[in-house]
Amino acid sequence: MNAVKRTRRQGLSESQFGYLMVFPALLCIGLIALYPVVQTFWLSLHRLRLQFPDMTKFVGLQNYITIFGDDRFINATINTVEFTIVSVALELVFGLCIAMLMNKEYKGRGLMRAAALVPWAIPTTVSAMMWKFIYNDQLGVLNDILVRLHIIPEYKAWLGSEVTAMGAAIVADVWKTTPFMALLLLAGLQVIPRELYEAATVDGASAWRQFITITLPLLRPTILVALIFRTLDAFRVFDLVYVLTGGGPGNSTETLSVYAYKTLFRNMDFGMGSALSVIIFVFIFIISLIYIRILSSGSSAE
Amino acid sequence: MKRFKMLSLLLVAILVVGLTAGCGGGGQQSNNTNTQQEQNAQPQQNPEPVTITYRAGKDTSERTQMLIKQFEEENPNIKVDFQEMPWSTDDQHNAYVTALQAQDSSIDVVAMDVIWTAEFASAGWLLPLGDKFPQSERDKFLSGPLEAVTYNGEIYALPEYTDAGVLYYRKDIISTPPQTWEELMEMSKENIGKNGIRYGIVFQGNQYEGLVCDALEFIHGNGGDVLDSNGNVVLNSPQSVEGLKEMVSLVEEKIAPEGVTTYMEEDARNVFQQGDALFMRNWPYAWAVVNGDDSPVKGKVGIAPLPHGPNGKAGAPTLGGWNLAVSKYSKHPDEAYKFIEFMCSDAGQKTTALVGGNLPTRKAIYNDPEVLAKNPFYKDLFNAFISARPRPVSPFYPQISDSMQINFHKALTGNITAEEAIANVEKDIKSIMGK
Amino acid sequence: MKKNRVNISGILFYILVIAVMLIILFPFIWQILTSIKSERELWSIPPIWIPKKINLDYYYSVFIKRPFLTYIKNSFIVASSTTVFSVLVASFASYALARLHFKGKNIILSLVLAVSMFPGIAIVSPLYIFMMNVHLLNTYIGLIIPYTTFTLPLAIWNLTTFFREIPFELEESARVDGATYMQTFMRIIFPLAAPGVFTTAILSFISAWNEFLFALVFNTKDMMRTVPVAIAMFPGEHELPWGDMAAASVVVTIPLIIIVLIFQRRIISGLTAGAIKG
Repeated sequence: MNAVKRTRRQGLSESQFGYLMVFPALLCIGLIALYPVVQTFWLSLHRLRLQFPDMTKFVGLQNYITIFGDDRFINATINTVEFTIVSVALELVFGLCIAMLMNKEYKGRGLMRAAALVPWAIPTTVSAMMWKFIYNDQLGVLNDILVRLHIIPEYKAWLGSEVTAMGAAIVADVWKTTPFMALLLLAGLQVIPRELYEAATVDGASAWRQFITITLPLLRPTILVALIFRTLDAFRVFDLVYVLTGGGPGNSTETLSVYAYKTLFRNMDFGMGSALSVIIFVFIFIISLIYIRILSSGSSAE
Repeated sequence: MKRFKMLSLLLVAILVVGLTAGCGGGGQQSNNTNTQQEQNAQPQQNPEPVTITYRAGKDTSERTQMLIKQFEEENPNIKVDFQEMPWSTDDQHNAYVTALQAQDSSIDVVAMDVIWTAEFASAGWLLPLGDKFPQSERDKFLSGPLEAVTYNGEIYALPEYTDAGVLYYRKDIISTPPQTWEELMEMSKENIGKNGIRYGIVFQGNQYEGLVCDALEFIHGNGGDVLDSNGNVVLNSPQSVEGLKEMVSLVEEKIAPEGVTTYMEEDARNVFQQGDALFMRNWPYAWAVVNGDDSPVKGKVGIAPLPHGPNGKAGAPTLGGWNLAVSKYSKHPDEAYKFIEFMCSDAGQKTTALVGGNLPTRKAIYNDPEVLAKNPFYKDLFNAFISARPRPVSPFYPQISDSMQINFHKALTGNITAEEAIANVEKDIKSIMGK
Repeated sequence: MKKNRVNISGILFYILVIAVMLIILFPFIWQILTSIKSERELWSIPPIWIPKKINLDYYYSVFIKRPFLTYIKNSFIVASSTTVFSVLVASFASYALARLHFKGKNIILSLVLAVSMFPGIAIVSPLYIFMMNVHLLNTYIGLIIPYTTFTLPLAIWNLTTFFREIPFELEESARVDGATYMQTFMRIIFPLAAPGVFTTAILSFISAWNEFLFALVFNTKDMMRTVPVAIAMFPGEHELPWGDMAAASVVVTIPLIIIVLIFQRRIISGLTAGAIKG
């Protein structure tokens, strides 16, 4: 087949054309992303605090050793993992439900699609402030609703207690980013041929059975992409937590990115901050590998 | 297919607009205040005036614009390009750190929170101003703000305006404000539940810089301190522990609302303004707001120096405020200095007080009749203002503050005791400074 | 009898849809309510739900106090250019990665993904130095280039998934008819993957529209600001004009909803195109 292609009257072979098509993307990434990334790796091997430019020196893996012995780092890692697992899992479930609602044909579907996207269209910092107001212990509408419904006896400071602060942050994140998940999954649902469902219905398969045997397997590649990118984002969560709680109460919601941000830009400790960033990168890399292993094992067999 | 073509045409059109408009944006170094369009339309006509860039947080009053206009009239050969930043101090700090460590010459005048002077100076980003700022001039400024622009014996900025924590109280309910925190607690307990009062006091208890300001007032006001005059860590003392304990007990005994651990300035101000709290710890800015036409407590509010602890003699407000410095990478340092000198002159400081509503840094302004007419409490509180205590002046301050924020907040939310919090912070500071 | 049952389940379905929409939209509706309250109602304890009379002062001040239309224009130029670049560059790459045979595909895919794993805060400082040296601070391009780069990973991964789904027979028959690689790509693959393409476009657009950190640090001139930074400019030192900010966030969300309504028709047309392949 390759031979057939090459005999056609075009200047480029298949692989030459392939490289040509990939080139612009690689150029962008090489130009913009590669240098900062390499730079960050390099800085992470130095003691570099901007307040003391004269004391800069190469320290090898010292920053990493310090970080791994640091309680605060461990606390931030646990918080980040908790945040990521719970919010991504909820987003996947809700996102799939909403995507299926958006995929069904009925009047007003366009409105439903636009409505479902609203949360994602609001700038993150604004939506974080909005939730801060909703959770407010005095004028927050959440307290008002729950007290009116007699679910809680009196107003609570949702962001002020270790028990509820993380949950509050997760709810705000799920609200904001489920549309992202839903939209990706919707696009995946749309390329599943209708005939498969029609045939299954003729065979008498229940809706649930169709979901399990048709929708889920065919949606697997899309789910993989959606999960990877949501996890990347959730694991690096910054703005939302920073605005909602600033890492409090008592650092119980501080995530790795918040910690890295404080280290880099508040403490001006570029050595440690870079090392933290590299660690975040490595964690995400591992998570992605796991996803790809689990979810693409099936599709490569096809 | 046709629609697809139309769409791609549209997209290409957008792209072209984007590119041309983008190119019009021009270089960072262009020394022209005019907007892009004007820059394209007419090449520089008059090459003479020097433009300096003044970067600062957003000014919600007319103050900065007025002062710049006045300055430009007095100095026709200098133009000031005021680059406003979002007010969030973290956003500002972040943008400064990025630009200054890149040695960007496009910023001439830097507005800094009082706590940044030491770190920026130590990083070598600021021009030393000592020889331009003679002793005779220095004497005219309040000592606290002056101390805050000094690092290692050198002056690195001029104090633009100052700030100090004060106690607001409901003068319709309480005749004389409390002298000590204990008195405050008793008054609160007496009045909670009456006259619509639900809480004794509101303050800034969120995990952020404001918490450090508030907590240090309890510690300083009880004779404790963070660093001694030689820079040794002396935080872990019975006085400090007792001071912090008083703060914690305000929450424990429900004198402050449960949610105070999430409050920043405006949250506290709102609860107080709605008439729900008897006292409020806040900065002087709130005076004009709680007495605004819209305010339910208008005319019912008194303002007093902060109370002190059993081992303290007087309340110890934390020093706030902002300073102006000249970037070391500025290409027009003389013009930039001229500008900050003007901002901190008598005339500049008067406008700062009258239009901006900020506390001036020059002593003389506190006797100005016009200023006193607008802010009558300046007279009574002058002694409190001049006694304001700076937070530790150290290039490590952000890390010190970080540790205080975390540990004090843990104490406030009942996770650790005041003793543990103080001990943890002392341990952290020692290890930070030892590095 | 049967008809009735259909109706009941239809009604139940609509109730479900409306309930879901209400939950999703509630915070935004609250935001709209906030934006038309008076200052006093806004800060009242406990909260007031429906304002006594509609107050449009905040909307007025959003447009009068600041050149908000300029900010919207800036954001629009930056986000739409990013979308165009990102979708173009990504679809080229994805076509190659999904359908052509050449060495190193997996390495390229993982490299692309790795780019998006770095926290933005770590990248901003080195990138600033780069942008300063090439004189791209305070320009649109200075934002478009990094935004394009950082939306590429999602775009490439997503489009690759879609391009893989398209049956090879279609492409082969076109090539037998003498079409070049470029022609098959433009005429067959790209339109058939329309749901994926437009989804990618919307996602890229919104992420560029919402980006804060680079926009804050790179574009410091007022006339070059984008919407998220402009909204962050509302608060003063001790002032939180929440009414203005609510109004502004409503104002900037509505154009996005319109764009989505336009684009979602494209998604449906992609659906019919997709039916051909089955």
